[in-house]
Amino acid sequence: MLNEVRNKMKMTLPAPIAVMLLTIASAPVYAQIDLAGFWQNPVFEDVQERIDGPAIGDFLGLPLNPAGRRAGEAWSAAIVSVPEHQCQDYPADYQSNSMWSFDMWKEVDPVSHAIIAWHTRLQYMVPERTIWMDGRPHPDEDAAHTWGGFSTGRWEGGSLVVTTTHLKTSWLRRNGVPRSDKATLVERFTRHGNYLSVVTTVYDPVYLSEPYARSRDLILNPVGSVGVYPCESVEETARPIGDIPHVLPGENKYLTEFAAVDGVPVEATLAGAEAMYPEYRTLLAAMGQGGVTKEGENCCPVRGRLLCCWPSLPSYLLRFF
Amino acid sequence: MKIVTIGLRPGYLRKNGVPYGEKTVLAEYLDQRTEPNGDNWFTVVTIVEDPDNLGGTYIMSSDFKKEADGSKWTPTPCSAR
Repeated sequence: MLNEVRNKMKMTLPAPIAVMLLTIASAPVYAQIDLAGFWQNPVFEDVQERIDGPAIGDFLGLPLNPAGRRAGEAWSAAIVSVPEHQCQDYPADYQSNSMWSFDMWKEVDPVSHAIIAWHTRLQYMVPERTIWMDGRPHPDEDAAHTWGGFSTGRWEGGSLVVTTTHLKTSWLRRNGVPRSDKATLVERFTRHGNYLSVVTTVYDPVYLSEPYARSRDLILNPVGSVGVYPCESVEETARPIGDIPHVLPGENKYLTEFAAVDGVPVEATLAGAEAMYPEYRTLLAAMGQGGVTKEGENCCPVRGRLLCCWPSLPSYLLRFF
Repeated sequence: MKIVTIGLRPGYLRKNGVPYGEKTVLAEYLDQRTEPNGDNWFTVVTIVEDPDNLGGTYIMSSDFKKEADGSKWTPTPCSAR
């Protein structure tokens, strides 16, 4: 095809113009969308979850499987006070979902001007990610797993699609909802003028029964920058050497507190994927959800509130009522 | 796809009464995607500019997964009492 173009140009165009057009025609097609800049996270959505932090037992909207639910129930907030965890990076899949902003810049080959990689740097703990654009494969499964994982990118229409593997075991929510090191993260960075849409989808064969998708939106801030984030761990509380805060199965007495305070059926907070979809309302109605107003056969007082005890509630939770 | 809407009646951005006014310019971007597992989604990015009620841009997004068919579409009539 290119040869045909060359031949036609030789016949019909002056040499300088032909050379110019050939240069354009034969140049590799590189992404034309510039994602570079400081992207400010306005945190207009899910403010309580992303700033205050979600409550223990708030598993609403998550496609957790039984293993994921059990791991989430075993989480103790005291884990973040352990010195080894105090200066821990956010995992790649949580970075854009957090309250923090980030820088994004490209790395360009000095000769070909092809984009070799995109980089991001989050304000919190200032971790730097590299998104390889040069077609290199992901490493062997046994290669090191990190908070940022190993990322490769490609353009799909106007979106930079990033696939990340080799993530360390971490969380989807800061209340201990887990994400395993077998997970694959797919991100889509789409620029709309001065706004950046980041859609993250987590595929986790260990803790999720189906992919978990979230979208966040950031605003270009031409004068923003990622500063330093000095962090030094300290002994915040006395604990035995080697103690790792956790809750044994069936002993997490705070699991139902969120449901009680927010007036949500406990069953819905634990239900997993089925509670993500509108048809779950039908199931709730069938279970008798119509407002918890009085103590009765299925309603029990919990910390000053009344909570419905669904017949299908796990027995280990019922004993806390 | 980008959608720009003007001429809106005043309403609310949140159900707790946070308002928007009649001078609002609403821009929406619909980004379709197919996930590696074959699921079809689209994300709606909503950008609200309201000189009367907002000091800056309000932006949010929502995600929709396409169902295999319309069997779950069961609209119910609404009547005020």
